[in-house]
Amino acid sequence: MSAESTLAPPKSSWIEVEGGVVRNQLLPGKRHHYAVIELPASFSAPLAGQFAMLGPSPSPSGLLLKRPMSVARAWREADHLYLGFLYTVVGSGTQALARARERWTVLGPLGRGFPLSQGPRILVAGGRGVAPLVLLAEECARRGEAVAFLNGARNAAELIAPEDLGAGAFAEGSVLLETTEDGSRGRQGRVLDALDDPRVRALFAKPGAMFYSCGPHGLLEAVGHAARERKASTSVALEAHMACGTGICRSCVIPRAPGAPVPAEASNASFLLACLDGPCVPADTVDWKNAP
Amino acid sequence: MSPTPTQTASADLTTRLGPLTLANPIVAASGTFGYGDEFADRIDLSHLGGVVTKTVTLLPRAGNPPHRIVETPAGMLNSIGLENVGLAAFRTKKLPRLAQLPCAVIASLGGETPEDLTRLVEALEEESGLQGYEINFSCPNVKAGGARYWANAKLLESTCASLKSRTRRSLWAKLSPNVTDPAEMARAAEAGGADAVTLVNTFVGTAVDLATRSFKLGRPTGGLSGPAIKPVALAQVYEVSGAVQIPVVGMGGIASVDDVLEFLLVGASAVQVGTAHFLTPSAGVRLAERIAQRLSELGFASVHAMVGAIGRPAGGPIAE
Repeated sequence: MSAESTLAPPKSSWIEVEGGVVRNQLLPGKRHHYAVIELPASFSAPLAGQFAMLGPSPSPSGLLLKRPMSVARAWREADHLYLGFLYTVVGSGTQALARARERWTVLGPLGRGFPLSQGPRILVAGGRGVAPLVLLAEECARRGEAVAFLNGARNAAELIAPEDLGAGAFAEGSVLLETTEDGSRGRQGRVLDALDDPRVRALFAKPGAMFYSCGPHGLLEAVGHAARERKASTSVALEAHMACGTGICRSCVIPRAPGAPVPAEASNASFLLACLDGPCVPADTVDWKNAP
Repeated sequence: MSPTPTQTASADLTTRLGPLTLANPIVAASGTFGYGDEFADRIDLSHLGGVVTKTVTLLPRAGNPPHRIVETPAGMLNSIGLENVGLAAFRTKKLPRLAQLPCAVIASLGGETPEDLTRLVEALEEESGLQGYEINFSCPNVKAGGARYWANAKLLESTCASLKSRTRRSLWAKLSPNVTDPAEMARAAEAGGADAVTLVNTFVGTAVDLATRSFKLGRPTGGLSGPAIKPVALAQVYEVSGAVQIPVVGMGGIASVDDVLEFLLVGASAVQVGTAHFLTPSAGVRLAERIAQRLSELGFASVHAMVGAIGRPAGGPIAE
């Protein structure tokens, strides 16, 4: 609990700026795009799990809203902050971003990131949900702390490894397991099948194990079940349609689990707001059956 | 005394709306700027004429199930469902902060009956920090007390009269565009004593997902806003401003300073900026910062001179 509150962003730490597009292209052999944006140093370095609202600049006529995306990579270099974003072209907004090769508008960093536990960390990625976990793995590596990184996707074209984004090496003792549903890369099966790996199983013998996950909501629900069976805690990154990212539009609601404690400062007893209460929340606080 | 296009930033922005005077005609629209204080530490709200709060109801409302928004060409549909903290929390947690804001604060109030609204106004009359009320007669996304219920001229008139008798603050009626005759509704609000009418609220619309054969929103329909609705909103503001003597607060898809001036030209005395705040929280402030210079460029010495000036030469007499 204390870890979560200390990692929550200070109120209104975001700014809105224009950034230069350093790269923005389909990753070779993949279905996902990767963009690196150069921002002024005044932009706060995001915590793993935080997100930004992104739009092309100038915005093409007919396009209205920015799109929320988790930060996949972040580093400072020569008076600039560089942020990496992994995305899939699924509609008009992401299509416009893919075409914008000079400037993006970036509003962020937004939301609550992953709280850093003291015990073993098990990172579970589903498809492009790998993005915030790459940033988390890099933060752990920087601290010299090992992780178990379970990276799953439908097929090889949808599986993005940290090195595909240029992310550095993991700390010694880390375990990396890749799974695809069609077996085109790594082990065939579902990402949580990798929990039976002996090196991963050994982690749950230690106190304070914590799952970190991002991907389809079905995966996040399954991570919640797996954690309960293993008496581990969770932080999962929610995804929701949102207009503003700052708590104003009240669009990105996810129903709270019945009976889950509602913090005194919560603005809505029935729903979590993905942008302010999340995106990173404990899996057991969500009513997955009624989540979009 | 004819202003020249080179004159800069000297136009008089003072905006009078009945008993209320605003520093400029740009007001943040209800539901698009929180309760008004959320951005106060990031954005200089003294640049705004005012803010209208999220609609407050007697009891807290959780709002509608997701999905609550979907983007459409040059617009968006929302189905929020008047999510709000309710009167008690608004009084204790929000109002003390709103009273500190450096611009006018208008409380948006929603009710399922005239009595709900009466109770809200009576409770808030005991509080300081508000300059007026905007009564939300036009939410398209609630089962009870929404736009359909209030699209009744007699009910609108009697409710405005009842509320006006209970307050000395400015009373605005926010009207729905989803009616056959918006001018009739505006005349009813005027007859009931409203100090201004605000229009338009969102247009009922929907979006369909062919692949799943379902609606894209959690409820079948939502309210359409954004630049897509601007031409329709301009037409309604033009029609209504010719039908009533009280000021019209115009809105609908405003995204640029020229959009603001177009609404003034067709008869709005002030404007509200809504959906644009979702793109950038400083949208309204940025427009307010540019309006004086743009007025001067167009040859207008004041906001007031531009109100309803469609078809007239700048600063000159009405063209016959």
